[in-house]
Amino acid sequence: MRLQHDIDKLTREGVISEETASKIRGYYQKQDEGRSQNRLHIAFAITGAILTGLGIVLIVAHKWHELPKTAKLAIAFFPLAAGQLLAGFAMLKKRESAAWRESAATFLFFAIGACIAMVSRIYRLPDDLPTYILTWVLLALPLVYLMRSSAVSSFYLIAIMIYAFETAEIPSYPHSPYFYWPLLALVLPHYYRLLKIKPESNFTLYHNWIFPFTLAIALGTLTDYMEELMVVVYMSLFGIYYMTGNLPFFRTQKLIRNSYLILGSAGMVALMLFMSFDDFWKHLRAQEFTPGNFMNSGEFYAAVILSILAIVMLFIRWKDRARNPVRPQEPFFLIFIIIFIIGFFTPLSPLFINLALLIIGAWIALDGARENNLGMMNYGLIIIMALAAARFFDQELSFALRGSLFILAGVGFLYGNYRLIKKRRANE
Amino acid sequence: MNNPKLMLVLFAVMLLVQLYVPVSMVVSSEKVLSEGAEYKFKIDNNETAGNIYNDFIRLSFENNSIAVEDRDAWKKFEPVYVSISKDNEGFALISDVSKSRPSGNAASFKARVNYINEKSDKMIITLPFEMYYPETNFSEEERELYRKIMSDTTHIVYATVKVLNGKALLEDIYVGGVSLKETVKSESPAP
Repeated sequence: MRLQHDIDKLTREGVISEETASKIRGYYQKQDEGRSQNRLHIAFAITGAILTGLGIVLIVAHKWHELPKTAKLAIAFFPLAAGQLLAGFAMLKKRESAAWRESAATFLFFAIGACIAMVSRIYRLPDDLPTYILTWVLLALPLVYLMRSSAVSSFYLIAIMIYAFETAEIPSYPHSPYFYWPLLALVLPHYYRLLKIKPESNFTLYHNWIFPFTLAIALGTLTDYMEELMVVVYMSLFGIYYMTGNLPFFRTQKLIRNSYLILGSAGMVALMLFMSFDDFWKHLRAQEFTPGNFMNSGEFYAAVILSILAIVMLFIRWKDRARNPVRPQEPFFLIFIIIFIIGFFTPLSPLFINLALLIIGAWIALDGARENNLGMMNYGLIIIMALAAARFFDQELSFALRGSLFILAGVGFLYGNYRLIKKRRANE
Repeated sequence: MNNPKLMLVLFAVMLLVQLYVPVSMVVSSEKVLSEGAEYKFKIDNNETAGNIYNDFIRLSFENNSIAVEDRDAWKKFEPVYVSISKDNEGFALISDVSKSRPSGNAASFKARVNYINEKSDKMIITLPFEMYYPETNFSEEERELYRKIMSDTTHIVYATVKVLNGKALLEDIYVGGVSLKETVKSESPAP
């Protein structure tokens, strides 16, 4: 769309002739058709591999109990052998074909899991989900690098999130949810490579969503007896996401590709809405923490590490502010840490959160109005409406107080609107 | 990684490792089943009858606990090694529990701490062969049949387990000396 717009503009301005413009349009149209056909082939290949594999599993499951052990073992190993042959063929003869690499790697990924599961079932081995997942992902991880498979990388990210969840839910020594972090580090070079070499590819888009989403969920496995600190952990995480989304690399891409911006902003707003009620703060003030409690808790160290990372990120953003202004939501994580500390001693913290949400919502709406960006303006208004709804139903505030606050806010908006209209008329 | 030869070598190593893991599971399991010492673990009929689910049965065993001196030394879900011996009737019972694999001749295998009963100071152990997946389609009628068989306390129900090298594998379940599979087959209504 942007290219079309630029070509039209250059033609209108007389920089290029109509004939040249037509040739340029024709060139890019061919490129797009080729790219979209290639994407279709890859998507169909992967889908076909998954469906075929699942179909075979279902047919076998129907007659499983009638088969002798040797037949069961043969069936258990067949997908693995077939997957390895396919992968070998793809590596030797079709290395440059992404469709072949991705579909063979996907098939082999599921074949590894299926083989181990079937052998465990045949011999009635003890149920041990964490060991199963860990073995599966470690056996499949080389596929990410040797076959450059982004499909396997995506499945890997989801699998290690499940691993973290399972080990946190039911302790399974020697497994630990802390293993998630080195496991995550093992796949990050591939993600970095995708961002660097193929920022526009669909696989990069999937990773842009799967990585921060699964990371946010896995982070929750750190929750222990100092769960109140997790709000600081998550506010800093969402701050990092939001600031990442505002880096030039992501900011220039389509919004759907900028998962960091969406997850960061939405995550911060959702957390702030939750914190705008007094329940959490009352619970916080009732706790009797000692310095020893903090020093011994994983939540504390996660909060420190993420906050430091967020501060570094903010510094990077601040240095670049001339080209790419810092938005009000970006430093909010720092302000939140102060509000959180104050919350131990006074009941004022929910008031600050409410004010902050109101300011952020209004700022985003105004920015949207200024830039003629309807989506942004509506987002800002949704934040304000959500805050209004939260306070409308907040039983902790009296009717009189709620009424007064709503009137004040309403008058504020009407006055702000009046000033905007006046300014616009003066400019016209 | 731009060296094609190195890539192929690493690829071949990866394939071998992917094959090795399930193959070694088969080999070690076959060894336990063929060379392992056989032990009979008595099943708690009533408890097991109440633990029949859609596609598996959670077996409850009568002798799955042992007294411990210091209950604070053990954590819930911690892996442990249980040593077993036989009682007067020839059924297995847990004679000892330790954090590492015991030396000596006593048969032992890896299990997990379920919980410690604070009143009796007894450690209840999760045995590695508690999950039983019947090799049938396990329809609702079959599950009812299993419940009926398990609820019949006139028969002793036990599981035969093979133990070797710290591993224990469930071989079969017997009801009054007859394989559970055969018992179910004989009591199933004719098609």
